[in-house]
Amino acid sequence: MSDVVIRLGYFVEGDILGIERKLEKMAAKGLFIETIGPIFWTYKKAKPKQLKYTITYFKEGSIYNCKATDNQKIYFEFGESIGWQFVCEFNQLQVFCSDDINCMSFETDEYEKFMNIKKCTKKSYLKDEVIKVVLWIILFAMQLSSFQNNLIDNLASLPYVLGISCFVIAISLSLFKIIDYFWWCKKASKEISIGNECPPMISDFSKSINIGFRNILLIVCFYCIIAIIGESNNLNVGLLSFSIIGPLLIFVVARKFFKYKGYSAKTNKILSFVILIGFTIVGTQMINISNTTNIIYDIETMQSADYTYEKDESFLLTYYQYSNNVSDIDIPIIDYQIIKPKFNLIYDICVNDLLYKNDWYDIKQKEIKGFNANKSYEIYVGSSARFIGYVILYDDKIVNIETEQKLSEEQILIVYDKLNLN
Amino acid sequence: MFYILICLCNECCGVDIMKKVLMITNDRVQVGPGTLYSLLDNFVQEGIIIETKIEQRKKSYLITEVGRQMLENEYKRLNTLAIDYQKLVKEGK
Repeated sequence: MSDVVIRLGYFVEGDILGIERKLEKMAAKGLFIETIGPIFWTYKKAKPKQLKYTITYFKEGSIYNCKATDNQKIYFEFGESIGWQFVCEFNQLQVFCSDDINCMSFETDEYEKFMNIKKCTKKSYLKDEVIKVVLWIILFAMQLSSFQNNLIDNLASLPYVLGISCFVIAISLSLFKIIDYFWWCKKASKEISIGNECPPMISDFSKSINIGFRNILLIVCFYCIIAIIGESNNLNVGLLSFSIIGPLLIFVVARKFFKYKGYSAKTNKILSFVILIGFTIVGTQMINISNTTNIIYDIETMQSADYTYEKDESFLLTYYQYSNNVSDIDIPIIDYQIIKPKFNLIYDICVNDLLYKNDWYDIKQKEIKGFNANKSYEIYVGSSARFIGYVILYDDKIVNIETEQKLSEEQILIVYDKLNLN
Repeated sequence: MFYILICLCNECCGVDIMKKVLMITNDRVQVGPGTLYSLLDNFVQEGIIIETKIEQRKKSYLITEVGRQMLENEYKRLNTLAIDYQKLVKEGK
């Protein structure tokens, strides 16, 4: 039986004390940490032992290093000389353990400890979070602009809404981390200046917020995947999943490969990022392809004599689209959509989108008796003021009727009855 | 910082500094490896000490003239404090 155990390492970056206590608890259970990764940690099974762990920051530590640098080895030797054995590292975090519970602290000067953490985290933790925020904001803006092009349709699409929500949560989490970091710097300077210890970088409060945000993000991502599976065919699921997860997986594999090949940290970093960016662009193209050509609305489809009916629903609105299949010139072609927003704000956004999104629309508010609506509008386009349809507002729904002919009173009554608008 | 610079009045490597500080202060002052590494790094950058040799990753250091001056200033400052204490508290003048 293998004596290596792999566990999910669900930790908050910077929560040094939390990780130390966790490793000590695991050692007491007979599981001794061997490697730390962003997702999985490996432990070695052995006889339970009481060990003391300490985690420090070392500025030359990096996930791109193929081996410990010379200075890092000197650092390990310093630790070994007083009983701290190097165990493993993750980025700049260096894990040491000691049999001696009363072993001298690795850091004995609070100011130096603070300055060292600050120096190291500025280079990694803070820089990473700033890059993440910028990246998320760019991706969010890109998604948002494509979202707005087909606003009502997208608001009714659960995967789209959840996808956008993921970006918002990720941006909020990174912004929180950045603000919290500067708050910690200020607090630590103050505490040390009055002779107190350097406070932990991640307080219990920050830890809860971090975990809360992360859990929400995971849940939303999970629902997003479920929603994609629910709305797409298998090819699309594959394409979408690969376009999101693929570049990250390839990036990790490439980084490990270059590490294995003994490339310097700098070369490894450059090559890995070139690969990540390249595959992200390819992935984005795949999303576009899947969005434009392959998504099949495999939703409840009801065929009446003349109409195809489609329903799409998210937690923001329900969207019914009716398309006329008849091409008889004697019958007026009427396509219509019924939008049922679930919040007042969404109602206003939809009205705004239908009436004011297109500059070339000429809108005439007109009371049309047969519709019995709160407000009704006729829409015209172009210099010739060509009539293209109606937007009719009710308390709980908006009806958009696309027709090239104005409806007669009799036709309005039929439409009103058919649309079940009463 | 004071004891590290005292140790480096004679050429010394990092690991030996930790032991030496413990020895000269009768275990009263401890310099942890993390702290020592950061301080040595800073001292070298600020020209307070210099690296004299590297033997199998073992780096040895020696105090510079700037470092000696800093040590001397610190000694004078501590001495002044001690004299003031003697005068004002012990002798009550």
